[in-house]
Amino acid sequence: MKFVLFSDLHLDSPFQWAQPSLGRKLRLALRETLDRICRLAVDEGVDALLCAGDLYEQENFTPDTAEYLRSSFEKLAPLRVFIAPGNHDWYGPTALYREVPWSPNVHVFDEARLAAVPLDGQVTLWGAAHRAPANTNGFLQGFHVDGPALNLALFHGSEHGSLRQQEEGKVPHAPFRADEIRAAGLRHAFVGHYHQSRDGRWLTYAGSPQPLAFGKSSGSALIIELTDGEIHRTRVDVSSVAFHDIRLDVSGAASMSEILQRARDAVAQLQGVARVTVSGRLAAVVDLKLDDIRAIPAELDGLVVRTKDLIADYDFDALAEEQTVRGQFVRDVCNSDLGDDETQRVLVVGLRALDGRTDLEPV
Amino acid sequence: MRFKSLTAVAFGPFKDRTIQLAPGMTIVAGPNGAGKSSWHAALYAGLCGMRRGTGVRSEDGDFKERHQPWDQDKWEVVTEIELDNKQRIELRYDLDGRINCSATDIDLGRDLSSEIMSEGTPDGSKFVGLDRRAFAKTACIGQTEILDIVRAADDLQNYLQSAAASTGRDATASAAISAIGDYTSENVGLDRRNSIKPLRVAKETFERCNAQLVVAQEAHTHYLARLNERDRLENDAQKLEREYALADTLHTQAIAEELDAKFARAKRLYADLGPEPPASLDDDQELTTDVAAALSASEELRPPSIGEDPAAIKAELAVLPVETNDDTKPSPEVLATLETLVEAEAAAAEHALHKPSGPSVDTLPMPSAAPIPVEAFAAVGLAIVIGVAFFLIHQPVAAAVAAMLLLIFAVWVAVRARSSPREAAEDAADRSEMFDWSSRAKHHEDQIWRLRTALAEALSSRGYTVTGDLATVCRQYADDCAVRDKNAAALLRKPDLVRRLEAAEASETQQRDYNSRRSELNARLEELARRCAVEAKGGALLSGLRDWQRRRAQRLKGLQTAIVGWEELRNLLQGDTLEALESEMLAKTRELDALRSALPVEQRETFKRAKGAPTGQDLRALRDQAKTARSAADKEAGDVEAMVRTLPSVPEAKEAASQATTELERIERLGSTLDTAREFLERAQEAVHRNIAPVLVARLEKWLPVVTNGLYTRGAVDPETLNVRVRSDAGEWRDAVLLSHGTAEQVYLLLRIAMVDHLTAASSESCPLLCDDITAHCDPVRTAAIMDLLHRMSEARQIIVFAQQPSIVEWAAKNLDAARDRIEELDQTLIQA
Repeated sequence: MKFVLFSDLHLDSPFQWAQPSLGRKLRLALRETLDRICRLAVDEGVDALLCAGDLYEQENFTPDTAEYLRSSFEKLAPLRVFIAPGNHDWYGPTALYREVPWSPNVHVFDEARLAAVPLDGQVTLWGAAHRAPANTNGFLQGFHVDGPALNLALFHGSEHGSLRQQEEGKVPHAPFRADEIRAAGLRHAFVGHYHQSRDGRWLTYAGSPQPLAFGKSSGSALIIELTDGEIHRTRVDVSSVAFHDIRLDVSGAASMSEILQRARDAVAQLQGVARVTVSGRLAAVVDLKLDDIRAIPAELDGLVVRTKDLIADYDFDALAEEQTVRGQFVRDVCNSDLGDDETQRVLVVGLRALDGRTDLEPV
Repeated sequence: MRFKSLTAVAFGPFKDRTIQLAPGMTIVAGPNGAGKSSWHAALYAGLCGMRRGTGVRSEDGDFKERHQPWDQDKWEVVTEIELDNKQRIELRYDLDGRINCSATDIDLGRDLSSEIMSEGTPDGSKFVGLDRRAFAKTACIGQTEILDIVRAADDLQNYLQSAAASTGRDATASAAISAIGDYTSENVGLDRRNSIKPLRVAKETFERCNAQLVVAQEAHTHYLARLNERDRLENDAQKLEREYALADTLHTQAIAEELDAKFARAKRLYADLGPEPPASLDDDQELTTDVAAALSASEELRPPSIGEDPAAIKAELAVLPVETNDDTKPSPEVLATLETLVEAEAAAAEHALHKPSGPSVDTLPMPSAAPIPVEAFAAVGLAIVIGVAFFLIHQPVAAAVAAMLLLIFAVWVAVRARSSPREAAEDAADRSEMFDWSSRAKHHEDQIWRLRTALAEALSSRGYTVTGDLATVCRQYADDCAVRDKNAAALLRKPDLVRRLEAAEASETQQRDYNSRRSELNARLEELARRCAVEAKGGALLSGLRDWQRRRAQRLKGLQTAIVGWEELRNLLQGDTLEALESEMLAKTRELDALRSALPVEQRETFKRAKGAPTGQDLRALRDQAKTARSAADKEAGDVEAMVRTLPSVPEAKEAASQATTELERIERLGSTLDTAREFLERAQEAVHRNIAPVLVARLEKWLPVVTNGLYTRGAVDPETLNVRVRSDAGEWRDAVLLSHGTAEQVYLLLRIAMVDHLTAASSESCPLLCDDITAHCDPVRTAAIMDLLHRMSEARQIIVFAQQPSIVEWAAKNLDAARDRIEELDQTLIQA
C-alpha cells in the first residue's frame, strides 16, 4: 500500500510576528500547501491520504475553511482520506469536522481511543481523536491488538523521547513512549504534533508541511510505501512559501547606505518570507533605521527585520577614562546593575544625546 | 605633544606652503589678510582632520566653505607632530575625499591611523585625550570668540561647558538632558487622555486591538454556538417535515380510499336508481295508523283467566272456629307453679317419712308432711324434659299431654308417699329432734299453701273457678289449651281464603269488561276491513288486515330504499356528477402515488406498517409545526449566513494585537531607557560639576594675580554655568564678565586653559594651545601681561599665537627665547589672489 502522510498544517493559524497583511498571505499559503499535498497524493496514486492532526485551529478557523476542506478532499474521491484530530483541531461539540458534510471518501476518527478501519484484507489503520484541547491521555495506554493483519496507527501525540528535541514550550499532549507502539502490537505509528519531522523505527513524525515561524526553511509531506511489511519513507517538499533567516552583520559599515546595500545583497535573490537579523558592531556614527531595511524593494512576500547581538561600536573603556560628564556617565552606567542589554541601550541614548544627535532610539 | 610643521598642500589661499613651529611659543604675525586665520584653521585641520560619516554638520559645512581652495581639486594638509616621548608622526589629511587620511610613525613607517581613528578618520587630538571637537572648543581659541566675549559672555561659558560635558561634543550635558527630554516627549509622550503622542497612541492601539481580539474571539465562539443552533433547528425541522410528509401521505391515502369507496358506492347507486329521483310515498298514512292501532289493540286484548267460585270459598270461611285470645298452650307460669307445688308436696311427703320417734305429732307446733319420694321428682323432671322437647319440635299438644300425664303420676306418687309417715312418727327419738322435724314440716306446709294459692289465682285469672280439686282444674286447663291450639291451627287458613275470595270476585269483574271491549273492537275491525277492501269476516278478519299491512309495508320499504339511496347518492356526489367524483378520486390517487414515492426509503417501511391515518386537525397541527420549525431553521441559517459575512478574523485580530503589544512594549521600553539615560546623565553632570569646580578654581587662582596685576587673588567657578567670579583676598566677589573687557577675556582665557588641563589630565601628552588674535581688544600693558602669561605657560605646553599687533612682535622680539620660541611673520604678498 501507499500513503501520503502529513500533519500540523494549522490552517487559519495566526502569525503573531507578522503584520495582518502578511498573515493573510501566509494563511493563503497554508491552503496552497494543502493543495500541493492533495496533488502529490493524486500524482503518486496512493491508496490513502493520512493527516495526523492539527489540520486547522479550532479557535481561529474562518467559516470558509470548512467548505475549502470539504471540496479539497471531495476532489480526491475515491482516494480515501483519514484524519486523526489533534489538540488544535480537537473533535469537540463545535468542531469544524462536525459541520462539514464530508464526501464518503473522508473518514474522521472521532473517538478518544484507537478505532480500527480495515484498509484491505491485510492492513488495518487504527486512529483516534483528541476530544479536548488539553489533558488527553496517551492513546497507547492499555491498548493492544493481535491478529494477522498489519496494524498501523494514526494519531496526534507527544513521544516522550522527542520532547526535548522539539521546539521550546511545546506542551505534551496524549503522551506515549516509542516502545509502547510495538508493545501494543502495532507495526508503525504515524504521528503529528511536533513540527520537526522525525523518522523512527516504530514511528514517523510528519512535521509541519509549511513553516509557521522562522527557524525552519521549508516543510514536507511523506510518501509512505508498505512493501512486505516494511515501511519506506520519502519526504517531499510541499511548502508554498520559503522562510529565510538572514543574519546581517553591520560591523565595519560606516553609513546607513552601506548597511542598506548589504541588506539588499542579502535578500536580492530570495522569494518567500525573510527575517533579517541585524547584528555585529554598529559604528557609533551610523543612524540605523530598521524601517529603511524593511522598505528594501525585493521579491519577497514579507520581510521582517529585527536586531540581535547588535553592539554599538563605542570604546566604552576609553570613554570611561574621560574626566567629563560623558566619562562620568559611561562609568556610572557601566557600574550600574542594569542588564547588559539595557546598559548598552542607555549608553547609546546618552552618548548620542551628548553628541547632539537626534536619533536617540537604540536598536 | 607639539606641532613641528604644517604643510598646506592645498588649503584656503595656500598651496604647498609650510610653516615651522617652535616647541615653546610661536608667534605668527602679519597684517590683516596675511592668512593668520587660515593658518590657524589649517593647524586645527592638520592635527584633527575632518569626520567622515553620514550627513554634513553645519560647522563642517562652514569650515569647508571658508577653507576649501576654490581653484584647486585638492584640499589637503600634512602635519608633523612630535609626542612628548619624541615620537614623530606625520598626519596626512585629504580633507575633501577624506579617504586618503593617515597617521604614520615617521621613524618606523608604521601606520598609526587605527589608534587615533575617530568618526571615520584619524584624529591627532586623540593623542592628548581629546577629539577634534573638544580640541576645537578648548585648545583652539579663535578671534571671534574673544571678540564676542563682552557682547555674549554666555557663549564662551556654553562653549566650555560643552567641552566639560563631553570633551568637545556639540551639546552640553544640560542640552543632552534636555534633548532626551524633548525626544521622550516627542517619541514617547505622556500617557494622558487626548494625547497624540506615541505612548498614548500605542496604548490606545493596544487596547483597541485587544478589545477587537476579544470581540473577534467572542464572535467566533458565538458563531460556533449559532452553528450548533442552526444544525439543531435544521434537524428539528427535517424531523417534523418527515413526520408531516408521512402523516400527509397517510392522510391522503385515507382520503383516496374514502373517495374510491364513495365512487364505487355512487356508481352502484346510480346503476340501481338511474338518473331520476324515486316517486314519493302514498297518502294513506291515517288508515295505516288506524289499522295498526286496531290490530295492536286486538292483539293486546286478551281474555282474563277463569278464577275460583266465590261461593265455595265463602262456605269454607263460614266453618272456621271463632278466634280467641285464651291460652293455646299451658302458661309457663302455671306450669312452673304447678311443678314447684308438686316438688313441694313431694318434699313434704319425704319429710313426713322421716318423722323421729318421740312426742306425738299433735304436740308439735306444726304438722309435717311426709317426704315426696324420688320417683315423684323424677316424674316431674321427665315431664318437663319431654314437654320442652315436644314444644321445640312444634308439637305443643303432644308436649302438653305428655307433661300432664307425668305430672299426674308424680302427684300420685307424692300423695302415696305422704300417707305413710304417720307410722314413722312414733319412732321419733327425742323431743328436740321432733321439734326440728315439725318445724320443717311446717315449712313444707306453708310453701305448699302459698303455691296452691298462687296456682289458684293463676287459673282464676284465666277464667277457671277453683273450688274443687286443684289438680282437676289444672287438667281442665291443659285440656282447654289443647283444644284452643287445634282451633288456632284451623284459623291459619283464613287469610288465604280471604285473598282467594277477593281474586275470584275480581276475575268475575274482568271477564265482564273483556267481553264488552271485545265486542267494540270486533266492530272497529270490521269497519277498517271494509275501508281496506279486505273481504274477510270473523276469524279471518285479523289475518286479512295483517296481509293488507304486510303488502303495504313491502311497497313502502321499496320506495323508502329508493329514497334513501337517492339521498345517499346526492350526498356522495355533493351536487356534482359521477364523472366529477371519479376525476376527484383519480386525482387523489395520483397525489397519493406522488407523496408515497417522495417518502425517504426508511419511511416507506414505516408507511407500510402504519395503522390508521391522522385526522385533518392533527395533520394541520403537524403541518403548522413543521412550517414553524422550517421557518425557524431557515431564519437561523440566514442569520448565520449573514453573520459569516461580518465575522471578524480571529487570527488577524491576534496579529494586530500582537503587533500593538510589540509596539507598546517598544515605546514603553524606549521611555524607560530614555528616562534611565536622563537620570544617569543628570547624576553624571552633578558629579562632574562637583569635581570640576575645585580643579578649575585651583588653576584659575594660580594665574589670576598675574593677569590682574595682583588685583584679584581668589576665584570661584559655578560648576553648572561655568560662570567665574573673582575677588581680592579681602574684597567682595565680582562677576568676571562685569570686569573690564580685557580682564574678562584674560579670566576666561585662564578658565579655558584650566579646562584644557583638566580634560587632558588623563593623558600623558601636553596639549598645544592655538590662540588667534586674542589680544585684539587689549591695551599694550594688558597685551604684554597676557603674552607674558602665555609665554610662561609655554614652558609646559606649546603655544601658538596668531597676532597682527606690532606691539606683540615687539614683545616677542624682546621676550622670546630663540632656542624654544619662534616668530613667523607672514608675507601678505604670498597670499593667492
